[in-house]
Amino acid sequence: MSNETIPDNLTADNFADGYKYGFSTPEKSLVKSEKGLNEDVVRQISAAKNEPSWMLAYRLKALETFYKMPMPVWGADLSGVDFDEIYYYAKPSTESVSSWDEVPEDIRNTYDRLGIPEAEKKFLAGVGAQYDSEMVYHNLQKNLTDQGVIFSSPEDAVINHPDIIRKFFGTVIPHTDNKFAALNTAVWSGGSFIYIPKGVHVDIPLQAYFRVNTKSFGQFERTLIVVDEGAFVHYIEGCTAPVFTKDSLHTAVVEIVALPGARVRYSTIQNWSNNMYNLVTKRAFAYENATVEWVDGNIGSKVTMKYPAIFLMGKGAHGEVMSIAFANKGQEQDTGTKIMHFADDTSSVVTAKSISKSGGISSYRGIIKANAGLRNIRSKVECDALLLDPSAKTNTYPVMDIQSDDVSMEHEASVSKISEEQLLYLMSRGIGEAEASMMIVNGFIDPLVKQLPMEYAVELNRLIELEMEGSVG
Amino acid sequence: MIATKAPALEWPGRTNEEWHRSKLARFALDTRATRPAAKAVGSRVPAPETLQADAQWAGQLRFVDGALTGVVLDPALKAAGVQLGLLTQAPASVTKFLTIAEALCDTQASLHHYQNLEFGAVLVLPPKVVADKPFLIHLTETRKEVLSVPHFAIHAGSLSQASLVIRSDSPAGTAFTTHTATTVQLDDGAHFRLCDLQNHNLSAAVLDHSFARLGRDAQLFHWQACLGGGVVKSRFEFSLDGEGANLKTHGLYFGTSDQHKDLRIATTHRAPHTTSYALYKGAVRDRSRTIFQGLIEVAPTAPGTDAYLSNKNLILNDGARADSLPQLKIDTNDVKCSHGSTTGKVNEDEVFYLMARGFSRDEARLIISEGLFAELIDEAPEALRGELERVVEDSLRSPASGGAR
Repeated sequence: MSNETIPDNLTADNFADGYKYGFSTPEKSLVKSEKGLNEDVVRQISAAKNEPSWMLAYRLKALETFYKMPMPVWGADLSGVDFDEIYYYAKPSTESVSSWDEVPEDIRNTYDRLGIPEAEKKFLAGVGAQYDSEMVYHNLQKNLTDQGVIFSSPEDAVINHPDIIRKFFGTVIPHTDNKFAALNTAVWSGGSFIYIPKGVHVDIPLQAYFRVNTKSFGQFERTLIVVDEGAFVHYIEGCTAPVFTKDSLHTAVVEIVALPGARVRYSTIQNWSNNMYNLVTKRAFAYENATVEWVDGNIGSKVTMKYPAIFLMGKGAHGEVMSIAFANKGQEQDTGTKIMHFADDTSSVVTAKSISKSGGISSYRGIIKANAGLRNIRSKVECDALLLDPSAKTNTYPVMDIQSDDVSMEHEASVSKISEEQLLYLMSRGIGEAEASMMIVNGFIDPLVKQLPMEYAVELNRLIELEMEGSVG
Repeated sequence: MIATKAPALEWPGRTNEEWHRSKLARFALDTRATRPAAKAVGSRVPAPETLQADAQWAGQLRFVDGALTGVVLDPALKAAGVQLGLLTQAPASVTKFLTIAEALCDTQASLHHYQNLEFGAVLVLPPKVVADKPFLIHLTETRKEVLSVPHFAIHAGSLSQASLVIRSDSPAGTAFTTHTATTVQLDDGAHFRLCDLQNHNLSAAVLDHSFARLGRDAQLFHWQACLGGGVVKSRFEFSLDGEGANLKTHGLYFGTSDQHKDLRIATTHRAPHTTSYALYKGAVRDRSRTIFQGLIEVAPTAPGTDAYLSNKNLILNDGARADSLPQLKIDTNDVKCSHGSTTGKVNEDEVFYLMARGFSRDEARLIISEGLFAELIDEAPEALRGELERVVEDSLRSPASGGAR
């Protein structure tokens, strides 16, 4: 494959045409706040949700923090983010419903084109689909409800389960953590709340589908997952958004609490359209013998800054992060991992893969920290980057901060292009160049894809195929 | 005299990632100043004595407190046009390169060297000259509370071959700051080995910003032992500008007592088919902290780059700290770049194996740790190996059995 044979015909414009989920339905929001952010907007959001006063007070405190905190000076270029040009709240025309037939037709059409109902029938225990900022669709299999599993919007949880919310909300990611966490805490709307009681093993993944539909509308979903002692849940979140011409902002906060002996797996494939700033704070606390796994795919967006974190708080806790990023033309995927070893006998594994093409930038930014005095800490990090053409870019910025002498810490990173030898091998067996390249790329991301449920693996492969179009001549 | 008057730059601020882990205030740059020896003794500077020619070295320069006290150079090399002497006598090619290096300073923490430049040495090799034995520049600093600012400039002409050892030391208890820099200019096809042995006392503050440029098919081997200094912040930038240039860098560093060492190397591949191989190993004990930052950068103009960087850290007791920050910044796809970093303790299985053969626990740990550094010491100039082995042993001894340093 010589460099000259690679046409660069996948521009932002024709990419938008070819974007599988790039359709939109006319806006029909009942409540829409003014553009821009101020105290009134926050009060308006809180009032629309009939929130108790403690939540409003917390939002207002976070708003103050947001004003005070500086923009991050590291990472991707965020100069295109204009906080005054964004709608902070829009509520769709319907309240939460529990059966598919009750969902209004235009919203249902959107979901139908994403294939939600089939997916639900076959694989999913419950769907919390987010259209704009509120949950409009909600279903949870009865046996889970009977076991005490709670899967609802965070708004519902604030009203119905204030004890759990007050105990955990904002404890994993305080509003003072960073400017965008503060913003989310002030204006959060929608998301998921999950509580798995002690010892309950949820066999089928729970899924929420998020979509952003209103122009210039930032989505600030807030997810809190509390998994009680010895329980297990796999939560899946997929994001697709219609293509708009104005830059949009997505600032989510995801908090996970894995209590002693619990296991949580959080899988997400992000496929925002290429004008989205995706600035997300995700963090999990893993207590004694608990396991937390993040499976993270970043395909779309203009700029993504996302560093799923695991704080290993209790003895024997284990954390795993598997991520894949695809940076195409005009895209910057600044992703990574933060693992803090705070207890003895804790271990972590990070596998990060990235693919860049047509000037796209993918960066790995990570930190592994082990405090002094800890015994038997193990950590292994592997970052691989694949560059598909000469204009592709990749950066790797890991930090290993080790203060204990009973640690085994390994980090490896490699950068390469599609190997000529592998291509030749496949092509000499009669496989065309484009197909051979695709096979090699599939092999590159295979360790991660294997971790996903079947329908997500299929979707990820399809998305990568779409991104790969036109990359070989 | 040789200090420049370039307008000041910004000091590295809170957001400067490179300075994030080291405090600028510890270098006392605002309170310590250069104190020219000439002024202190009067206008006459004693002429440097001619050192005895030595079978080990091709030529030597000896500096004490910023003054040149001894000099010797192999007559055959001198006749061939080799220049080993004071920086003030540097030819135009070297002074021009110095202005380039100065222009590359991105913060006041680097530019400060050029603004306060006090003394220095130059080594110039004409094209095709081959020196079989290494050159030696030896610095000793005994002045208290001063700022000592030496510069070493090397220019190796095309197809020349040579090696140079720069060693610096100071008597125990002498608190001072030294802001050093080495500039290396390798013309096409030049082969050069530069060995830097820094062994200042534990009260010294050592700041360094060095720069090397490699021409077509040039080869540089940089060997570095960062042993002394209470607080050390160094940066070496390597620029592979000519096609086929090859860089090999080896470094070893130890942290004992309260030492703080922050080492950064940054290699930029700017031309096709350039290669770099970096191996850095450190060990920390007591309450010391080391930081290793290693960047491989590949410009779009450097297809065919092959680069590797490895960093290994050994933590000898709890509370000692080692940070490792390997970095890749790749702007083209026809490359093979990777890095690896490990941090850990002495392997208990290996300790058990040796103890089963009659070694005590401390002896076993020492033997294994020494083994880790053996491959670096084997690559050091022969004249230094015995001394290095002793230093390594002292630094690695477990705190319980008592280190000599």
